[in-house]
Amino acid sequence: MSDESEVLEPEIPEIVEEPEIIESTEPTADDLLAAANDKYLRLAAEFDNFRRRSRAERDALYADVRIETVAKFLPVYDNLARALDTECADEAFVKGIRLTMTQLVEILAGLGVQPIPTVGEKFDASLHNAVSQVSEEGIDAGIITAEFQKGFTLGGKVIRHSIVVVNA
Amino acid sequence: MAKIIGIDLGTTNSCVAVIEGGEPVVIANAEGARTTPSVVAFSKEGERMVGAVAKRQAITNPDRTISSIKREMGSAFKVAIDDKNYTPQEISAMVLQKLKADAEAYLGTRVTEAVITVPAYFTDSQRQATKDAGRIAGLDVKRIINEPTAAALAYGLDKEQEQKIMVYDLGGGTFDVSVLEIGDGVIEVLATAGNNRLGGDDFDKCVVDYLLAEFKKESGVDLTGDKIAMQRLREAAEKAKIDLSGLTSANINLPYITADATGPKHLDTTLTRAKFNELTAALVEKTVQPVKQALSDAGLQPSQLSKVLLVGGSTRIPSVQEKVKQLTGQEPFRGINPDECVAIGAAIQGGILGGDVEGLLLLDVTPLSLGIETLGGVFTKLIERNTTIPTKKSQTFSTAADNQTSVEVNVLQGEREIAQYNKSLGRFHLDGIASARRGVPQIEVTFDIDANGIVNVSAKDLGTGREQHITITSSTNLSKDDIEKAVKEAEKFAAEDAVKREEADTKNAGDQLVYQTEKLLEETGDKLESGDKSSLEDGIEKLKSALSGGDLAEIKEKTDELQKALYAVSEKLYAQAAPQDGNGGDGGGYTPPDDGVVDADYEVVDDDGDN
Repeated sequence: MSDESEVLEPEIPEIVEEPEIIESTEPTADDLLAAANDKYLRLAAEFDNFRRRSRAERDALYADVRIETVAKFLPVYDNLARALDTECADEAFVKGIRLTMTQLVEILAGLGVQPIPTVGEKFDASLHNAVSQVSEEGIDAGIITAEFQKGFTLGGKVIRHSIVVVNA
Repeated sequence: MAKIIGIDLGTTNSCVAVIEGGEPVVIANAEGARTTPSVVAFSKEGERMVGAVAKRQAITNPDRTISSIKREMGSAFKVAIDDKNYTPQEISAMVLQKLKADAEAYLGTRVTEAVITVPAYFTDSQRQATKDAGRIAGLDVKRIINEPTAAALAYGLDKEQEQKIMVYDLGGGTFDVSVLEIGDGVIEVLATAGNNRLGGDDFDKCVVDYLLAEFKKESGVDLTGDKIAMQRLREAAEKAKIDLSGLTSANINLPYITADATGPKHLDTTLTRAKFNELTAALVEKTVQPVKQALSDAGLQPSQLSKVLLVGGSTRIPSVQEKVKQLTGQEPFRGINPDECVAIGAAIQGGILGGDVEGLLLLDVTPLSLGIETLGGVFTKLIERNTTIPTKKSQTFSTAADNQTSVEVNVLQGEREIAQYNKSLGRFHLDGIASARRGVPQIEVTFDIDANGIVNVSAKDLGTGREQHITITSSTNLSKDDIEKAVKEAEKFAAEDAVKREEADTKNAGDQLVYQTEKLLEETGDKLESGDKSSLEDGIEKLKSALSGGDLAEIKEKTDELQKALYAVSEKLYAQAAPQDGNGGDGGGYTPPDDGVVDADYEVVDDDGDN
């Protein structure tokens, strides 16, 4: 019995405290200020990151546009290359195509466009796109044996991956 | 608290998005692509590759390249690489890790939390496996949501009234259709059906087969064994498919596709959309049964659907859209990139969980431009439409007449160039401006819009410090229709307004030149030769009469003439002034006439000045 009364006693002050607890759940001006300040800081930080990224994106834009534009012209290079690989009896005509190709290669080089080395190189998925595999004697595994389509880089970025055949 | 990213972990491709400044943004990967192939590979040297790079080496390394792992989620399937067995969760985690790293690079902060989507039909164990994959990747998966639910969130349908919708998702390799019930912010999947071996690649294959057959018919050459030719055909087929979503015919031009004894052979053909539809009709037809199934499982008639959402890149194909329309009797709902829609929805869910959407989305924009009326009835904008508020902008104006002591500020809202066609929100006068020549007083007009859209416009005479202001509370409560109407009208009348604007500008310029010349005569008339003086006076008279006549061409002509005369005279004045050196400097503020100073930006309102 005496134990119970001891238990009861501390309960009374707790009940008295209760309204205070309820009151303290109401956000105070300080809480609101802290929340608002937190929101403000977050937004400022987000904006700062956004601004930094926008600047970087703007800087990269010129290079990206150049890469995209060059990429659109590459099928013309491919087809000139295919034309030159084709037998043709008309030598003057072939020479015309060859000169056109030389001109295109010079223009590309002038823009900083570089062909990606393939045959004899080790396959590298960051530069090459493998579409076939062969087993050739005397060549190490993972070495490129043939190129289906020439790839190019510009300023270290790949414009188009080389399409290649790799030795197993 | 860091951002919660949203991830669409797909069978063939994955996509990641995040809420930024209250708007969902799709994050491009390190290679610059907005979706990442869900492919993982281990090189023989033990290097791990994820995404496009893994895909490019797949053929050289088939045993160590894993794609479509999503199909195995939640099963006991293991991928054995060297001595290690990887669970589907572990492989998926590698894809997630790449997406996480790309998001971190983009955001410039660490990312630890994510919302990941799964197909609506995923079982509990498949969902758990997806969650585990996130945990392995270092992501606390705040929620797993259904892909169709994410699509509905992307379109903001959770905020609309109670309704039932269908989500038709035709992706790279799978087809899913779901019927959802939306109400009270809760989205429930009523039924789902699909075909997990149907997607965009099948459409490409139809085109390749057709091209092969056509070429054989024409040239007698079978290209199937020619790997280079096949590679080119596949690329061309995909490109044609994409072109045919926008055009009714696509040109397929593959020079030197092969050669035989007779010489080189070229493939040059045109694929019409009608032919493409015919070739792929069987594929489109395969989606019919699942759609009917999902509707009947949900116990609904097509007419009970209020919307149909299209998800997945292949839903760009017009015949697919046509079929959906035919099946549901509804024009499908479009607008969000179907490849990115699910990731966007996941990001929105992440934003809601992280408080981003509630907290920051409240940033509003001004629905229409705000500004004031200036000389000649021209609307001068201070705040362009769609400017994020709160914002504040000031511009300095002046008087239009000598000794003008009062200006009226007419606050306008709208997109038309001519003041009278815009809505006047209110007007006020600022008086007590010190008497001065036109153009001298500086009146700073400031627009200040708070976060609630309340506009405070003030005008302050910088000379006397006198200030007036007006507060407008109704600038933002425009209906969508009002805004659209205002914008459309501005477009419609743009040419007409431009003419009126030019008229006002021409008159203002002429008027300004008359004033400038009169001022010059007044100040330096005694130094001028009588011939020069009379030529200026004559020019002024002519321009004035042109101005009162109102013929624009004539005003322009007379303005030019007077301008030339004025130039000639001021050159002489300069020549006179130069040798005198230091003598004429302080002579009453004579400034050389400057063609550029045409103060179109002031307001005539009060012509009670005494000139």
